[in-house]
Amino acid sequence: MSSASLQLPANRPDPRVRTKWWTESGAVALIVLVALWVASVLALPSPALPAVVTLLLVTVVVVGPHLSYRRWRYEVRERDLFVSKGFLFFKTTLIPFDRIQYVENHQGPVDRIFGLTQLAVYTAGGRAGRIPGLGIPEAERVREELSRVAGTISV
Amino acid sequence: MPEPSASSTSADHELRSLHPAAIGVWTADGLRPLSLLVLVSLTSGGPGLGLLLPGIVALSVVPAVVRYARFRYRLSAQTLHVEGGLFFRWRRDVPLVRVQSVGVVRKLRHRMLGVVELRIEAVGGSSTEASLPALSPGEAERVRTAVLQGRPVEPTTGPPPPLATMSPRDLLVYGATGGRVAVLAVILAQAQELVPAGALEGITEWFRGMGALVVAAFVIGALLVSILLSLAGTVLAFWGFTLSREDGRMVVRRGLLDERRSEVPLHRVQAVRIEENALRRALGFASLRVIVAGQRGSETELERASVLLPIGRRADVLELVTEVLGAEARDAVEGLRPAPARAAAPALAAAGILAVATVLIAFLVHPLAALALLLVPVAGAWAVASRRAKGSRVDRRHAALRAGVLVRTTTVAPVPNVQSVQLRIGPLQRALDLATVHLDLAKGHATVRGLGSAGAWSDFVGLGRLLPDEATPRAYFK
Repeated sequence: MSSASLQLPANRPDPRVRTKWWTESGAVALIVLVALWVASVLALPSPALPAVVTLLLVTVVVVGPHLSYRRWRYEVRERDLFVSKGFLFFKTTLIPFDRIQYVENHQGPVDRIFGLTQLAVYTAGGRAGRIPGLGIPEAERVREELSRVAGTISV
Repeated sequence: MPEPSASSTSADHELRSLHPAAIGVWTADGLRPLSLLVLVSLTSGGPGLGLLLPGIVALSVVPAVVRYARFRYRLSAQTLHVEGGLFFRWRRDVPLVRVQSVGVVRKLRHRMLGVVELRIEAVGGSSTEASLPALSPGEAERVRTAVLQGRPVEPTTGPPPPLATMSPRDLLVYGATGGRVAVLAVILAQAQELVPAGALEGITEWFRGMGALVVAAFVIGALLVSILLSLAGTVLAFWGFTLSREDGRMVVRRGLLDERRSEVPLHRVQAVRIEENALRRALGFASLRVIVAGQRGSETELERASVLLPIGRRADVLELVTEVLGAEARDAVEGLRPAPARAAAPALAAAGILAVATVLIAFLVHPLAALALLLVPVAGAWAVASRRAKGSRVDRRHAALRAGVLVRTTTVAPVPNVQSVQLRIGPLQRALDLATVHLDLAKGHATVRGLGSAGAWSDFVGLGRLLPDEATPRAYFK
């Protein structure tokens, strides 16, 4: 059996989370690049190094959130929560309902701007799964559904 | 001998005091940190001593007396209530339903004073929820029995035959094969601080004068001393070790000067861990440890508390696994599926890169760098040993994972105790068709990297089907 034959979870996070990641990483990259260029104008002879770094950072910022978003999936199945994520470093997790101790919705300031909520699922072993961004109504729905089935055997 | 109190509740109506010997116990406790002060005063000269010693004694005894006067406890049908303190009063109520075990501690000072210390441990709190530092043996038995809610007192026919013991030879092997050279490093660091600056220079000059051979001899000597100290410590701590099963609990008794008794309730065992460090494995020995939910405390406390069998023959350790988790757990351990040969590839490649880099540097920079080539076969051997150590097995009742070169660790967890299962594939693993399996337990986890991906996926999917069926009993996490 190869990994291709296993189905990935069915649902994607809200597309706005991709925009949020672009914004966040873009802002950080901008600050880094400005500092870098200022420093290089003052200190370095040639613009080669900053140019290379700029190219790398821009690539990462443009491509990274897109790939991350494409690979992040979740599905509330009949008896467990199935989550997978990661492009280079693939990671997939199964959490049976009855192991779930509580579900937490979390909203940072940037999430609020985009109308998103992060969802985290906790078992006795700590945080076991995370969905990085759901629209608020969807997040409520998933959280309620998981809270309803947490500690039970099945839907 | 107190009667079994299955029918009476042994509830107290008023607050009780500890045994007066508590003063002695606490004084002895307090003297330990002050002993350094005593040492300094002794070495610094005569006249100060006469003033210092009574001061030190007063500093230790007076607080102990005050503490004894203020300490009270009461055992009701549902709680153990403890209180104390003069300026900073404290009160603590321990609900008896949360008590996981009651440990009996008889250190040398307790034995000399004819008393016993009880340590009450609860689920989900700090490792020792409450302690009664000095009780007469009869009272300790009464409290202990009542706290454990009417479970039958040990039968007068004596404790059941032990499941495992450690012979003096086992003790020696355990002490000699442990990894406590780190203790030496700490001792050396401390020693360096105590030596005045000028003396240190003088000593290093002296060493340089004597030559490398002497330094080497000194280092070897120091290592031997460290081993001997480690041995001595082990013998003291584990003398008379017995492990027995009483009433659904695994009970460990050990200790020469400090007699200790600790208990592990079987139904709180999350997983067992078989540990075989390289030296012990070569000799055919192994250790057994349990991971228990709800225990918290310092690293060393947990280390000591969770060891079921510090060292024993591999066959005996497997017998114990059967005793704790059942025969199927043992089958899982013996039937582990190994990692494929290609799992060694990344580490071998790293060794190869090291070799090439070393040759380049030796060529271009300094020939002495070629010495690093000696590391390459070591790295290669490590890569091969690492692959051989890996293994996994998931069957209907248990999940078993094994990994580790220096300390080969096999973790076996009953499926109901697995909280979630994870599969990870990094870029290099994807190229080699490998994967990592990771289990989360209520406390702790187990990971094996670089398993064959087909096997890893089948473990993941298999566990995914089993986990919802084999539900965790919710009761013991409340």
